[in-house]
This record gives sequence, C-alpha cells and structure tokens, in this order.
Amino acid sequence: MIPLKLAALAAAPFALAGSVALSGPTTLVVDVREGGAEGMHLVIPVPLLVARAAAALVSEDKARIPVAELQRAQPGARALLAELRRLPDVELVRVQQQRGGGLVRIAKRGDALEVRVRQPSENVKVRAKLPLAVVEELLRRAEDGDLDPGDVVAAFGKAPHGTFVEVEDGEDRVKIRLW
Amino acid sequence: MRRSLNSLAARAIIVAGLLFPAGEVRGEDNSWIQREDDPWIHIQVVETGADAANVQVHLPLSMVRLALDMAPDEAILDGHVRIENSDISVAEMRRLWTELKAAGEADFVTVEKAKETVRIGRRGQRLLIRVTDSTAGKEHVAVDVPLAIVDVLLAGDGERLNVAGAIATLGAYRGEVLNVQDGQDRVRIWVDEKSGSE
Repeated sequence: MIPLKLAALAAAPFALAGSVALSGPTTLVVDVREGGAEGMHLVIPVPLLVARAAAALVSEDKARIPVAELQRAQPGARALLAELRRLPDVELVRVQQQRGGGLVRIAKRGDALEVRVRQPSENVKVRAKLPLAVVEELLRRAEDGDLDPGDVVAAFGKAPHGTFVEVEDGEDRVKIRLW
Repeated sequence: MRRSLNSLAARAIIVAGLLFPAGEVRGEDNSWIQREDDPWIHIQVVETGADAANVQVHLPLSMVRLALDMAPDEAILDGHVRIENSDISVAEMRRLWTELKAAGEADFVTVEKAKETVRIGRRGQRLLIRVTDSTAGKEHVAVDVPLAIVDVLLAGDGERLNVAGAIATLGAYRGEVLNVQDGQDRVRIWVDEKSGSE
C-alpha cells in the first residue's frame, strides 16, 4: 500500500503540471538581466490569480476602460481573427531602413501575431508575440462595452505557455513569460 | 511626385493598419472566407535618400475587404472613400475619365513644359502616365494602371471613390495593378495567389 501512496505522491506534480498545461498559464514571469560585470538578474514570478485579485482592488470607476468602438467592431474583428488563424505562417509587413539596418516585421507565426523590431544603431531588439487567443478573449470580455484590468489579466490566462515579450537594449535584457 | 510617392507609401501602411480598426459587421454567411487560392495583394515601396525605407505589405484580399467593412463610417461609407483637399473633384475626375476612354487607344494628354513632358494615354487595357525629363530625355515618372480598376474606382456618384468595388475587382485580377517609378523611388502593387513575399 505504501508504494502505491508513494507512486501517487510522485505522480502528483506531473498531474498538476498536466492540468496547468491544459488550463493555460498560471504565472507571469518577468526576467530582468542587467548587463555588465555587476549587473543584477531579477526573476519576478507573478501568479495570475494574484494579479487578478490586485486588479479587482482598483476602484471600479477608475478601472473601467470604455471600448465602445471595439464593441461595435466585434463581428468584423472576429472575422478578421478567423482569417488570421486560417493563414499559413507568413510575413505580412516589413519596413526596412536602407541605412542603419532598422527593421520592423509583422508576421503570423502559429496562433500568434509576431512583431519584431531591430535598431542596430541603438543596439535595440524587441520581439513580441500577441497570441490570437488573447485578442479573442479580450473581444469576448469587451462585449458589454468596457474592459477592466482584471479582464486583461484573465485574457492572458488564455495564452499559450512561453515567452511573449523580449527586449534587448544594449547588454540589458527583459523577458516576460507565461507559465 | 515625391509627395505623392510618400503618400502612396503611407496608404500602403494604412491598408496594413486597417487590419485592426473599429467598425461595421459582416454576417454569419461570410463569403470572404480565405481559400487556398485566394488572391493576395502585395505592396512594395522602395525609397532612396538619407532616411529611406523599403516597405513591403502582403495581405490576403479577403482581409482587406473585412478591414474596409470595419472602418468607421466617417472614413469609409459603404466602401466609398471621400477625397478631400484634392485639386480635382471626383466628379471632374469621372467626367475626364469618360472623355479619355471615349478617345480610344491614344495619348490623351500631352503637356510640354520647359524641363519635362507629361503624357497620359491608353495602351490596351492599361492607363499610362509618363513624365520625361526633356533635357536628359529620360523617363523619370511612370504610372501604369489597369483601366478596369479606374473604371470601378470612379463608379457611382458624389465625391467618393468606390474603394470596396476596386478591391472586389482586384479579386478577379492577377498581375501588376500599379507601378509608379519616380527616379530611383518606386511603388508597386500587384495581385497574385502567393502568400507573403514568397
């Protein structure tokens, strides 16, 4: 019997991980790495539940973001998202500086819109992924004409696990991940 | 011409930006669903100069149509765009276009200035505009547009251009839609069935 209990205990983390993977991310991780020999490395995990609870504490009057235009655009925006989902992985927009190597790219990659910005003259690189599921959830939550910070946090709960923003500024790096 | 080239580049970016505006509804029976062979519109702007940038936009026409539907009524009403601050009214453009088409295949207009010659004419199913540097004898502006697109763009009445109609016409069109060459600067718009820049 004891081995069975041990097996159950051993299996628990995997079962938990599986349920997390199925139900979406639970934690936002901000990873800041400063350049230089004495640069700090900060990793700040923020459970989404805590972020939602904090968002709920903000005064309702101040927190509501009116999105009447978004409400009006709902069906069209949903149709556009459906079209985006159907597209193969493809680069949609590219703006490239002739001199200096500056580059902006917007592409569809998997189930996300990916934006990449590179400015070599300032040693800056930005890479951001906007999961379509997050936009769909925001649209759903904007059906009544406004959004609050809790809606935004909840929408990120629909995102796939992984890095969705990476910024490199010289030797400094910031990564925001969802786990 | 430099101003109009920049304006075209700006419009190319606006088309991309129209992907996520606010606006009107299309019903459940959406006939613009993307198919494997749906046409894509490609816009390429090549600039020269100190701050020059190359711009490429690749979008399925189905998405452009949806974006037009979603644009606010102040910008686009029933697929028609109001032209403001133009030297020529849409009604005048329409009247000129009717007269030019009636003239058949020919150079409709030739304007000779001290330093350049402007020719507007029709070759087959395309409208051609050429500006030649009289001193060097070189073409420095070349505009090349299918007649069918201009026809639809100017269809209707009032001071609005039928952009939705022109986009719909593009769906049946394959090949170059616009080619503006101004010295080393260039704007090209074409339609094919290739996604992205492949």
